[in-house]
Amino acid sequence: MKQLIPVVLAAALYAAHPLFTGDSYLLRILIIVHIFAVLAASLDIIVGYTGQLTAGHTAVFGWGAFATAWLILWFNTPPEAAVLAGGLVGALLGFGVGILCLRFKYLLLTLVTFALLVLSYALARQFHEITGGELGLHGILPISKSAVANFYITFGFMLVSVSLLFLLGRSRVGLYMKAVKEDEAAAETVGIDAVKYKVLANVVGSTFAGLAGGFFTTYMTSVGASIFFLDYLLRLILMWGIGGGGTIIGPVVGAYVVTLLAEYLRFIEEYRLILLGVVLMVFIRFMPSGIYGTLVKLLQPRRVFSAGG
Amino acid sequence: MSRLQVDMVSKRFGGITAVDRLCLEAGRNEIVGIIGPNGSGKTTLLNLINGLIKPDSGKILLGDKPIHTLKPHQIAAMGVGRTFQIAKIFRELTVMENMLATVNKNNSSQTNLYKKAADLLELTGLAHKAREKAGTLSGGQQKLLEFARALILEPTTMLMDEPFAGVHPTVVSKLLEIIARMKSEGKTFLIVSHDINTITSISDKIVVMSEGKKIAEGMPEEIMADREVARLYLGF
Amino acid sequence: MVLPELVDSLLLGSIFAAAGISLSLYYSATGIFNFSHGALIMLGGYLTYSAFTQLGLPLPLAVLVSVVVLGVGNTLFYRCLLHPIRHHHIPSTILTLALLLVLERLASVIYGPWGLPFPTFLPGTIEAGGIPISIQKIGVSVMTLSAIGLLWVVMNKTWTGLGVRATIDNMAAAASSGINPELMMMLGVFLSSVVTALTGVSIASTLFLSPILMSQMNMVAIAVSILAGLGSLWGILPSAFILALSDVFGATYVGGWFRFVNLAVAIIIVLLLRPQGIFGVKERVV
Repeated sequence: MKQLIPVVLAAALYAAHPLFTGDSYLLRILIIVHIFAVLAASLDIIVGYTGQLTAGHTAVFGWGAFATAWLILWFNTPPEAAVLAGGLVGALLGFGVGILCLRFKYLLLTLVTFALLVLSYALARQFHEITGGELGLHGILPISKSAVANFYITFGFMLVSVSLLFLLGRSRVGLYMKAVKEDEAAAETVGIDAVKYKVLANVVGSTFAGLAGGFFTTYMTSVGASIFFLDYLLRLILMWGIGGGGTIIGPVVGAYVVTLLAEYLRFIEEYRLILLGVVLMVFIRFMPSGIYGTLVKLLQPRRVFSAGG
Repeated sequence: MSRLQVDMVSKRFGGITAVDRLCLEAGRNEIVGIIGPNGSGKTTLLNLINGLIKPDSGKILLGDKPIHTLKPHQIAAMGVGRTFQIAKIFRELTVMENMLATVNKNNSSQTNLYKKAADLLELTGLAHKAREKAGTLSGGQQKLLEFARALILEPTTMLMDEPFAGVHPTVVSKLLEIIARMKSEGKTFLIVSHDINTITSISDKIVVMSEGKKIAEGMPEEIMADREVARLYLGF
Repeated sequence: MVLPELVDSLLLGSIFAAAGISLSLYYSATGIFNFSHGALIMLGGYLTYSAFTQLGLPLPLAVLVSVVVLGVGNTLFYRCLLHPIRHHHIPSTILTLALLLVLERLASVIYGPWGLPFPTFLPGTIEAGGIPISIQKIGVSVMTLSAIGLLWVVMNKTWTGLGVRATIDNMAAAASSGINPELMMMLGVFLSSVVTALTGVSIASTLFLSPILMSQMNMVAIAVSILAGLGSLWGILPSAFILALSDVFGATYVGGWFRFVNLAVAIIIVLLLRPQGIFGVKERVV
C-alpha cells in the first residue's frame, strides 16, 4: 500500500495543476487523453478480459458521438443529457455486438466487426444529410466553454469510468471473464455461463465507449464521418497494446504515453506514428504485458487474487 | 432411481457415427469404468453428458431431470464435474484463481469459498503452488488442479477422462484415495481409462465400447473373462 | 453494349483474385489472417515504382526487384515476429494491424499521401466491336492471371508445392513424415508475397499508387477470401469474378459510393448466412 502514496500525490498534483496554469496547449491535449483513456480501458474489458477481439469499438464510439450530436442539434437536448444518451446508444450497440460474439469467435468476429466499422463509415458518408458526411456536423453545444472546466469534466469522467471498470475487473465477474478468455469450454464445465459474461463485457465496454463519444463530440463541438476512420481504431490499439491489456489501468497508461509521445515527437513529424507502430510491434512480440503490466510484475510480489496480467 | 441415465443416445459427425444408441446407468456410491479401443466414442460420450455437444437422438437424465438439452454451465451447476484427457486449466490464471473461477451455486461468502479452495489445494498437495500461474505446473500437477477445481463444485457425479494417463504413480494413488472417499460419501463416477489394471480394480461396473456402441457391460471379473473383449483388446 | 464493363470486370476480377489468393495462401500456411495485406500489396507497387524511377531499372527488372524484396522481407517479418506468437490470436492480429499502420504512414511519408502515376508500359488501344479497349488493361489482366497460373503450377506440380500443401493439410502428419513445417510455412509466406507484389504492380498500372488504396485493397482481399471461404484457395477465382462483376456493374448503374459499401455488405452477409463461404473449409486453428 505504501507504494500508492507517491501515486496518489502525483494524481493530486495532476488534478490541481490547471488551477495554476490555466488554459494551455497541454491542457487541451490532456482533455483528449482523458476521453481516449476511457475508450481504451473499456476496450480492455472486452478484449483483455473476455478475449473477444472486436474491431467495432470505435464504431460504437462514433455512433455514440453522433447520437449526442443529433440530440443537441435537432432536439435541443442539454449537452449533459445528450452525452448520457450516447452511453445508452453504446449499451444497445454493445448488446448487438454481444449477440454477434455468440455466433462468431476469434477471427470471424474480428472480420465481421471490421466490416461493420467500414460500413459505418460508408453509411455516414452516404447519408450526409444527417451526418454531415466528410465535413461533419458543427456547432454542437459543449457542456462548458471553458477549457479548464472541460479538463475537470473529462477528468472526472475518466476517474469514475476507470474505477468502475477496474473494480469490475477485480471482482469475481472479472475472474469469470478471464476464465472465458483462457478456455471457454473449461469455463462452461465449471459452471460459468460464457454467453452471459461475453455479452456483459460488450454491454459494459460499449456503454463507456458511447459516453466517451458523447464527451468527445461535445468538447470538439463537431463530429463527422471521419470518426469511423480506421485511424482511430489503430491508435486505440496502439494505446491498448503499449499500455498492457487485461489490466484496465494499462490501457489508461497507454493512452497517456501514446498521445503525449505523439504530441511531443512533433519534431519528427509524420514519423511519430511509424515509431509508435514499431514500438507496438516490439511490445506485442516481446513484452505483451505492456508498460503497465511489466511494471507491475517488477514492482509487486504476486498477489493471490488479482485480475492483473 | 439411478443418478445418471444415458438412454439410447446417438451422435454423428459428418459420416461417422461416434456414439450409437448407447444406454448406460450409474447410481450412487458407484464407479463405472468405461473402456474400449481408440475412437470408440468414449470421450464423445463424456462430452455428450456434460453438455459440450448435443446428442442427435436419445436422452440423458440426471436423477429425473433431462440434461441433454441444457448448456454445460447449467449441467455443471447441477453437480456434474468433469476432467479432460489433457487438463483444461486456465493457464494464465494462478492456481488459486483457477479454483475460484468456478460457479458459486450456494452463494457462499468469499471467505468460505477461499477456505474451501485452500482446503482442496491442501488435499491435492498443490497448496504451495497457489500463487503460481497454472501454466507453469507439471502435467501431473495440472491434472490434480483440474480435479481439485471440479471438486469445489461439490459434484454428485464426476466424469473423468483418462485421469491416470501419463501421471506419476504417487499422483495416481492420491487420486484413487480421494475417489474412494468420495464414492463412500455417495458420489457417482464415470471414468474412461486405458489403464486396465487400475480401472478394473476400482470399478463396480465396467462398460466396454467399440465403434460407438456398448458391446459389453458387467462386473470387472466378468469383463476380463469375456472373450469378445479379449479379442478386441488383445487380438485373439 | 456491355463489352467495356466486361473487360473491366475481367481486369478487376484478375486483380481481385490475385489479392484474395495471396491472402488466402498466407492464412492457410500460417493460420494468421494478415490485416496488413492491402498495405503489402501497395508496397509491391511502390517498390516497383522506386526501382523503376530511382534505380532506373527497366520495368520487368523493377518488378523482379519488388518481388524479391517483398518476398524476403515479408518472410523474415513472419519468421521473426509472427511465427512465435501464431497460436495467440489477439497478439498476432494486433501485430498485423500495427504493420498496416506503419506501412500506411511510411508510404505517406516517403511517397506522399496523394496518388502517384504509374508508367503505362503498354500504350494504345485495340478495337473490338467498335469500342476501344486499352492494351494496358489486357496486358495487366494477362500478367495477373499468369501469376495465379504460375502459383498453381508451383503448388501442384512441384515438390515444394507438395510440401506446402501437406503442411497446410495436416501439420502434425507432415512433420511426422519428415517435412519441416516451419520451412513450409515460410515458403507459403514467400509464395504468397510473390503474388502480393505482382498484385500491387497490377493495381498500380490500372489505377495509381496511393496509401488510400491500402485500405481498399485490404477490403477487397478480405471480401474475396470470405466469399470463397477461409482456407479455400482455388474457390477464390470464381468469388473474385463475382465480386468484380458486381463492383463494375454496381458502380456503373448504382453509383460511386457502391464500391466500398458493397464489399463491407458482402462480408457481413456472407458471415451471417454462410460463414464458411461458398467453398469454405472450417476456420483454421493452427
